[in-house]
Parts: sequence; C-alpha cells; structure tokens
Amino acid sequence: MRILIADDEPTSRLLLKAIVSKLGHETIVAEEGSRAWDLLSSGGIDVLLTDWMMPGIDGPELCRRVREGTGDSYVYIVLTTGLDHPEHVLEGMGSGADDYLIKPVDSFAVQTRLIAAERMTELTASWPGPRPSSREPTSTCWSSHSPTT
Amino acid sequence: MSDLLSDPLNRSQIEFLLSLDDGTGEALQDIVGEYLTMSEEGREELLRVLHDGDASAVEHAAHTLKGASANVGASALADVCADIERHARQAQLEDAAGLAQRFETEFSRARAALQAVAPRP
Repeated sequence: MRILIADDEPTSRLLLKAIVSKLGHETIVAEEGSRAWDLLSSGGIDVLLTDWMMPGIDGPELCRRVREGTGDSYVYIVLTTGLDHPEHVLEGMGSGADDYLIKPVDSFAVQTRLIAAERMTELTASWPGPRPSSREPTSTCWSSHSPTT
Repeated sequence: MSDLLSDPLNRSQIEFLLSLDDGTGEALQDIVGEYLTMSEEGREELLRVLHDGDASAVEHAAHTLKGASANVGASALADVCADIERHARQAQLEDAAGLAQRFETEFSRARAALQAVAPRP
C-alpha cells in the first residue's frame, strides 16, 4: 500500500517511516497538515497515518477534508497521537478516522492497523456503489448495506 | 535516591529501535540523532515559556517533548514532560522553577544515556 505519514515531530516521522517500510509498504511523509492535504488531493494514497497537533491543518481537520472530498478511492485513516483522553479518541473518530493509535507506537500496533486498512481498501475498491465517504464510522457505512444476522 | 540511580532509558524501546533495520543500528542512529537535535531546541522553548508563565505554550512544548522522548525510550524524561503538560493544562504553574529543575535533571540524564547508546559519528 501507499502510506502517507503526516507529523510535524521529526522522531515520530522517522519512527513511523521505519516501521511502515519494514512492513513492506511505500511511505510518503509530510511535515505539516497542509502539505499532507496537498498530497492527499493529488490521489494515490491508500492509508493516512496522521498526528493530531500540527501547524496549519490539524489531524481531525485533515480527516474531515478527506471524508468530504470527492476522491475515487477510500483513504483509511489512523490518528496517531499522544492525546490519550477518551474525549480525544471520540472526537478523532468522529472527525473521520478509522482507528486511533496512542504514541509511542510499536510495530505490532501499526501492523494490525495496516491489516485492517488493506482489507478495507480492497473491499471499497471492489464495491459497486459510491465509496463510503461520510464522517460516520466505517462499520456504520457497511452495516447499512449488510444486514447483521 | 532511587530516582537518581534508576535507568533513564526504557531499554525495551531501545531494543525495538534496534530491530527496525537489518541489524545495522541505522534506524536507532537516525531517530536518536534527530531527537538530540530537536530536543535541544525543545528544551530552550520549554524553559522560556515556563519562565514566561505561558500555560498554553508550556502545554504544547511539553507535549511535543513528551512524545519525542517516549519514542527514543527516554521514559523518565517523558514522565516529567507529562507532569509539566498536566500542570499547564490545569494552569498550575506556580512552581515553574521546580518543574524546570526536574526537567533539567532528567533532560541531562536522558541525553547522556542516549549519547552512549547511539554515539554521533
């Protein structure tokens, strides 16, 4: 997958880049939210790993822009932040993130998120209807098409 | 006394950083090297805003240093930064000098330990 890492803190960028590269994915990095948005707008990004607190556009705003955008493919978003209060987690997920990782991250935590991300991007790529693009949680998007048993 | 004798580094995080490449230690060198540069700037900023009593700026500076310190296994320093961040969030900076002193102590210990683990070429 092609994974965009957005973080203004350099050690977090390097750490995430090393983890994601070792897992065999292509990485692109952005040092601030506005640069990340430029890269997202040009397309071709499968997963966004984004910090919360960044100059310019912060992580939740980036999530909202992605979900309100008109790109052809679904971007799986993981907020990676040191903000660990439940209200932050809820706000982040509500802004459009698919998952939430509290720093410092480790390889296992990133790997498990990327397994889910790969499955989600494959599903949405093969889905005949419009891509899930609302700010609702991903599970809600799918449950409207797939009745539970 | 026990605090002074405790290891300033979380060695399992150091082992984790060493596992991120093919055994060359390049990832550890890169990440710790970047930390040693950014944390010096972060220290100056944190001490300045602590002195000024700017709670919002203290919270942000401490938050950034907390995350970066945890990334390189400087757990004792990360704990002090978390404490400063909490004080700032609650606008409790009456003991700014005490917080700064605790920060300086752990900052020096962390840097010395990290320079030993990943000496600059």
